[in-house]
Amino acid sequence: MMTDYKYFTSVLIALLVLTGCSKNIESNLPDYEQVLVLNSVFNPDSLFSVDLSTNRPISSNAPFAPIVNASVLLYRDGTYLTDLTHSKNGVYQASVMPESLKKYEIRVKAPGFDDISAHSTVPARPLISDIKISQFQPDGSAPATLMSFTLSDPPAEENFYSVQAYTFEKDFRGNIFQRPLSIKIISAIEEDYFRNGLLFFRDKLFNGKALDLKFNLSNVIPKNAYFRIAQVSPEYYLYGKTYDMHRQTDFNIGQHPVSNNIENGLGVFAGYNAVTIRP
Amino acid sequence: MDLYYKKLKDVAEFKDGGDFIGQFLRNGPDTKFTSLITAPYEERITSGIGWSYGSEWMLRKREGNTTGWLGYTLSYARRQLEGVNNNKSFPYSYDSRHNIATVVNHKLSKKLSVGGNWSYRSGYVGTVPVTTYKAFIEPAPYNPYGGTSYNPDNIDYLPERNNFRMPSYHRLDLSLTHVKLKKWGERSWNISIYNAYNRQNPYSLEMKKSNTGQGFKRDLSQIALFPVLPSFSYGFKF
Repeated sequence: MMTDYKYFTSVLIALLVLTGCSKNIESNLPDYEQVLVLNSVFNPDSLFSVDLSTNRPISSNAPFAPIVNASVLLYRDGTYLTDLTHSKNGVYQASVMPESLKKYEIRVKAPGFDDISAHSTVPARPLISDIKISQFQPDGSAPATLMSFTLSDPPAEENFYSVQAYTFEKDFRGNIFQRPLSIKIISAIEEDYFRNGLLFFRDKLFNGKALDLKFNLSNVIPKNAYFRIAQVSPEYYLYGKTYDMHRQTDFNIGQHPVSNNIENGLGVFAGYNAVTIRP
Repeated sequence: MDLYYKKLKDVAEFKDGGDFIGQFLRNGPDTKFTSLITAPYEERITSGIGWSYGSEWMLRKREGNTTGWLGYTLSYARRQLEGVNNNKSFPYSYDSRHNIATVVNHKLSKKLSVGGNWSYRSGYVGTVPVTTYKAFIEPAPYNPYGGTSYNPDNIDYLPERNNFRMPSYHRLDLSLTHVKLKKWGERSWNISIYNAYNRQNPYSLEMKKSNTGQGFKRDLSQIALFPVLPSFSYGFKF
């Protein structure tokens, strides 16, 4: 009798352990449409350039297919300006540079895809004055740079900015390269997000006012520090902000969608305008 | 038969990507609530309106050896909130179009009866990326210590909130009951089978990442709970 009882218990435990109550089953992803993907962030210091590719399934890890046979037309303030020609790997370039305060529109046609279009305006250069750069030595640390300037924000409109600091160094072959510097803001602004070494923020706390901005650059002496401040279009700001949040979230905890200003397609088309402060 | 319609005001919902647990998991005690990417509570939620409407039907048989009922519900539940889904309305998490429930009991004899119930509902909705595309990355300056400074990245495209309906949920439960009257009361034996045809009902969705040797590949999988579960019970009343 006792043997039967042990046998029954063993079988029951084995069944419970081996069967389990949860199971993973492959599920089909929803269908998707193949569209054109356009990425272009432009400013008055460089020629117009557009990267064209197409999307791919979530489950694929193949490289994105570049679009090499598209017709890419650029308009300025509603008037045709120029065509962009294909250079390589889906990158199209124009021989013109964007201008401040001009509205640009891009229209793209490619065989097998719906036509896409997008528009954005190049903002004005940021108004900065009273630039001061000084050196200080934090307790027991390497020399650091304190940089300050006044940013005059236009009134009655929402403006967006980015700042970055960098220095130039030589590598072991003697080639000069640009090294991003980490910056610490010591002014009362609302830090929105960092993206690839750029700090983005908006004028929420100083709309229409002149704001003294102070930045602390550690481990760098003033004569080597470069500083770049840009006024960015709302499209660029929103894209960067949502992309940053997208990267910090994932499917299993609720993914953040990325802002998209391409009509009938995906990507970003946005302008900005920057000023570089040199030592 | 019933018809119902209810409009809801001030319903709260997380904004797109607004979460609490994820931030804590990533940052732990270093979670910065002062920056916007880890915004304070009130900046992560939004309020708006909602609708819930539908129709409920029921048939019931109370007499005879065979008794039971059949119920059917057609329902819609939607939400619309500022800052969510481009301010457009979307199906709410518990939006389930059809719901059927049926229960049947049959007396084989005075002591023995069989019963069964079958339930069905349309799958709940969830947000699933449908495709992925190239992200814009700021031009990378030459960096002798790491090739390019920043790796190109992908963006998963989420067309709208709750764009994916999970497979429907249904299952059949069966039971056989033997009842005997005793001097002291009533004794019953019951054998039942939960989820008799072993339907793998979806409980949640998960994006799984696997290394193919040529990079990572992602697949959508659903977690199913509770396969066929037989049970046996003994009861008494006095």
